Amino acid sequence: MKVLLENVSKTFTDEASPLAALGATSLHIASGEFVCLIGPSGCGKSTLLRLLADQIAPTTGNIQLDNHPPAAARARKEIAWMAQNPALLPWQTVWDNVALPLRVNRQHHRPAPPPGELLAMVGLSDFTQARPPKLSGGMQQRVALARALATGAPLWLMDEPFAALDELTRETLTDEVLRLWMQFHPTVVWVTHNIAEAVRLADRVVVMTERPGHIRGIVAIALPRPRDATAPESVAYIRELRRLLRGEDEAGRNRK
Amino acid sequence: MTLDISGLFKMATPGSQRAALRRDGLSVLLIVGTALVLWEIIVRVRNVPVYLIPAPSVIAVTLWQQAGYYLSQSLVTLGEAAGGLVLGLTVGILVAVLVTFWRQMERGVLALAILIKTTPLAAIAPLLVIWFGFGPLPKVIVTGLMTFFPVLINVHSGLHAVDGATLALFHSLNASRQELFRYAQWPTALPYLFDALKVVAPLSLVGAVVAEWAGASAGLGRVMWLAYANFTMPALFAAIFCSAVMGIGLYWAVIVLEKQVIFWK
Repeated sequence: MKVLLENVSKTFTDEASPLAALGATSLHIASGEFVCLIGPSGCGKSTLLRLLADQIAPTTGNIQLDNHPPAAARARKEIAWMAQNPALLPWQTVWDNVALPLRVNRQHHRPAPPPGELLAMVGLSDFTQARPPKLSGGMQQRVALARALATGAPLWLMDEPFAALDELTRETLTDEVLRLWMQFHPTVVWVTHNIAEAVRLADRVVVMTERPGHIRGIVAIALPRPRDATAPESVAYIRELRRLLRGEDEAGRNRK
Repeated sequence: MTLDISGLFKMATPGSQRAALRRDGLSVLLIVGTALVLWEIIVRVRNVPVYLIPAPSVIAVTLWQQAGYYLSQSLVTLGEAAGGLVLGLTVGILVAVLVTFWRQMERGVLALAILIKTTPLAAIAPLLVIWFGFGPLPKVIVTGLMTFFPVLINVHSGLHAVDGATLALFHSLNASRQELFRYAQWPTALPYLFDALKVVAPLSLVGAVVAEWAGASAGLGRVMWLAYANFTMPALFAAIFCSAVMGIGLYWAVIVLEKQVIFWK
């Protein structure tokens, strides 16, 4: 799914003083591309993702997902949403949780592998009848991942999905996401504040800064996958991204 | 009128459950037993006349000698309480669901509910007897009025307690209001419903007794009323005892049912 943002901005006016969360931002994402949004807290990266997910409406500008507004894409179940909180239903089994996208909004069915197959893909074949509260945090996110796949959506919006997990689990899971991305070819917009993670995952890393949020730079990661975050090529990208995030020029002087 | 024995049933692991139950049963026996023995001693030592406070032994004898009578009167009250409880539950749940789907009605309906809630039911009960006679109907209505409010408030809160992450998920799937209700809101509200039930199940007996007080052909309320009219306090306390035992039983039944229904907690 092709993603297009043109001069999109968001100002929250419901509070006492208006809060400019995102300044005028333009971004084009090709179909099947893996894009990471990176930046400090309050840089508007989550706001941008929520705009794409049709959770909030832009103050100005235009968003197009395959030439349709986000609301139309959401109505057709074309958006898979995944966040830090796996949002599993504790009263349903793992299998039923994964089957949820098949049970709601039935008139817009999209082809996707059945829940049992998806659970096998994320390594949870032995836990289909378990209840989510009994699973570890990492396993819960695997269930959420399988559920996202069950939508068959061509756009995955992921808001720091593994930020609450320990380093090792997090690496294993990001590798699985990469594998599934290569298998299903969705467009992925992935929000993170972990630089190494962004370099491991993305085709392009969009660096954002705060108040109001805007894009400071976009770095294309031209490395073959799987990537090793400790390899010299990766470290060079990590350095470049850190420099961008700190607002320094190439000589290391502060631009502010 | 009823004992709060919630602490009895909070044990989590099945292994320690039996030992914990035995320990709790022992503590209840010890404390209630001590209270009864003290009561007996004070009444006997101070020679309190039976028409002021009868000794527990006198009450026990009364219950024993007229067991059939007290059982049948208890069942009348229990039936009325159960009827009122079903009425209160049905109305409370229906109204909570209704205002969840039609938000415009929320304020008005809740205001009306508070209005009904603040009406002193002891004053309304005789009026209902004038309207509907000495049969069970006025008792069912009074109990219903007494129990619907906690159910309404709790279920209403529960239906709105779905967390933001789950709402975002259902939003992303473009789930309908009905789907959100069925898969997220209703299961979320169930623990809230049971919290209300723990309060209103024993309360339903109070409702039935208060209503019987206003005029009844049978039931524990009538037994109490007759006890006052004839100055037979053992009968009064025997009726109170029956009501208390049923109250504990109802509370316990709610706890057992809750464990079955809310299996994920």
